[in-house]
Amino acid sequence: MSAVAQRNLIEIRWHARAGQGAKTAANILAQAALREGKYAQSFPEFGPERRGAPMQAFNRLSDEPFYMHSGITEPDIVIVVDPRLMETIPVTDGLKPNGWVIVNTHFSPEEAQVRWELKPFKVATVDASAIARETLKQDIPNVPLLGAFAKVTGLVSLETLQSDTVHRLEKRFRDRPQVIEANLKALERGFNEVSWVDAQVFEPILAEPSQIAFKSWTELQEGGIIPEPSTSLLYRTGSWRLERPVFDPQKCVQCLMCWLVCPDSAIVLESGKVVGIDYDHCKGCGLCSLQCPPKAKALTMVLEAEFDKK
Amino acid sequence: MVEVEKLPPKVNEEQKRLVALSGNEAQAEAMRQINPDVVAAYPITPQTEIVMQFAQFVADGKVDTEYVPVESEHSAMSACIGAAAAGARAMTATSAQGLALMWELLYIASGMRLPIVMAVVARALSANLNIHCDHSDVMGARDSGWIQIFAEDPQEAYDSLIQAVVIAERARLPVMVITDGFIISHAVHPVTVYPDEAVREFIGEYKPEFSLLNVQHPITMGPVDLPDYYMEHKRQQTEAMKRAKEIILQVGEEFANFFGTKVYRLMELESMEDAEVALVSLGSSCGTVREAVRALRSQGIKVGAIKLRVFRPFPRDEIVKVLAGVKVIGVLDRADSFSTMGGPMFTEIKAALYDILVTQKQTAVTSFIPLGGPKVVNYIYGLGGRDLRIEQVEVLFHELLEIAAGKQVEQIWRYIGVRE
Repeated sequence: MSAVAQRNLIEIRWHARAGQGAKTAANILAQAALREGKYAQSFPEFGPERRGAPMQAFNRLSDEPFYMHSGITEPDIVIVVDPRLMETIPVTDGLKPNGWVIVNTHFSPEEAQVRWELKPFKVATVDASAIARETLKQDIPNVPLLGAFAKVTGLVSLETLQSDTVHRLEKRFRDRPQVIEANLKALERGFNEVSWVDAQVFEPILAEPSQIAFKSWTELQEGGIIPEPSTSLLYRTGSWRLERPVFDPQKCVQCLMCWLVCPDSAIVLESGKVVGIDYDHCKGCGLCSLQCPPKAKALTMVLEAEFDKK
Repeated sequence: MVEVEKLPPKVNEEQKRLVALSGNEAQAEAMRQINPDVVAAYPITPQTEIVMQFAQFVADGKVDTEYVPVESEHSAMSACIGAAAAGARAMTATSAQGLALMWELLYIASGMRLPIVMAVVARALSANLNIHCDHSDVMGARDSGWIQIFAEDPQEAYDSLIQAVVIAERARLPVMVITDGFIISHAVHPVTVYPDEAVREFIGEYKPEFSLLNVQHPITMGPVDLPDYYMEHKRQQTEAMKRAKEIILQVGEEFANFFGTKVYRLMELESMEDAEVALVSLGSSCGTVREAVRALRSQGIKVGAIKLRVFRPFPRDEIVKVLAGVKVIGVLDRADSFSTMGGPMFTEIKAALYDILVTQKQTAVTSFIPLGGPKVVNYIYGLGGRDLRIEQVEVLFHELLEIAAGKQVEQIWRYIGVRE
């Protein structure tokens, strides 16, 4: 092991979608760690800077001061805020053997370990989205995940996270104490409802981390010109969805308003009539459903999690 | 360089016209002959005459150009970028604040690899308000990825602007041709002008590889370029700059063969074969320096001069080869960098010499340059249009000779022609 890898440092990588609060959660975690006398960093890495786009956030925690500003490629802990990223992003890339994978999912840790091939790792699961919907009334799973993190790793205490939450929200929600209450409840439920299982395989991981074959500068088109049309079809942005529009052809009056407003051309037409949704490219923005005439209601938004269960 | 068999030039002397033109008129004439698809420009002193005359050519139907009268230089360069992306041959001209206002677009033009050609009439930047010549505007754009060619006089401005069209399209990089404000832009000199057809034949028809307006083949230009690709595209740009040196030399040769002119290169040398000391300069001052060299040489004093024609890409290897044998070099900068270590050309030349000394393993330590070799001093002159006189240059040469003879120098860079 290299000298660098032997430092007494905990490195954490969050996988989420822009808008799910991973950056905020990483910031809260760093603040809580600082309050407990640790040295901490928190930083995000954005791609297209668009709600729903995959993003990462990072934490470093240590009892000693540290100074590096590089990205984290070999984390000790991976937290997956959106379970649908498990299928599209290699979340365990570089994760140390026997490291933690903490996932927001309704699956048990044993099921998750099998379903996503996580046997070399310790796996914790908590249905943070369900907790968030019940307590915060919206799918912001970051708060319950922080509670789960505190329980599983013991790196910060629930009490510190609780007092930090109050401190952070009390000014803004002075008139609405129920918001602060809901956040505390979400934190506590995450702490109490998380369950985990130990790693099942202890051999070092031999597989190379997944590498996308990027072209060198000599092979790329000068000036970044994309010389072909329709290349966006190559990117399956459908995994960005939290909610899915479900189409009922019986109710559709063929006004084509959905087709008109869809920013991703994901409404499929045949002979000028709507026949369905291109789920490979629909990002779940919900505009089609909003535009669908209330009397028709041929497009309804359904949580993606509902389809995972089936 | 390979010796090529000398053929008589395509354009003979009878076909040429010798006329009296100012720098601006010469460049407007070149633009008329180039007949670009699009010109978008905004007037600013001392560049105004170029676009004013060109607008007249458009109004009189002497060119086929789509002229876009814009509301600022920011828009002028934006329109040129759009036109060039669409596959048009696009040109503009500006000065000083106008160039400064183009700043972000300069990087977009070069980053998108668009062969835009721009006449820059160099002028001091405000504050304080000054309309006269110095190089602070062009030096501010030196790292924007544009090829920078300095013209000494109206003839060179005319010739270089025509060459710039070919250089830009071959290198797929934008080019600025720089003349000194008022000193050249408004000074009338004899200029040899070539026939319209000959100029059009030399530059040829522009056949862009991509056009944004080709609806049969839709493409994307200027997409978002995140950490996973941006650096590769910058790497391509720097390679294009390296290649541009060869292209500039090639086009210079072709131009000479076609029009029967002198061969334009990266720099021009004056009595450098056995020079003990030398001055390096840009633009109109090069003529003044040359006169001083000739006067001193007539007295048997071994001085020389380098006129740097191409500042970007910087001809490092070429200039070092010439300067390595010189005892003391004076660099004339018509701009201050405010780095407190001299003007922009001074630091470039010093950096170039440092590298070559390391590779030659010269390790003799002096208090002047750690690795020995030629001493380099810097004179900042001519800011805001202050004159540089031939007598001053003569004094500088004598100072360089004294340094060569062992005189200690207190300041390796200083202002000259300033009231202390």
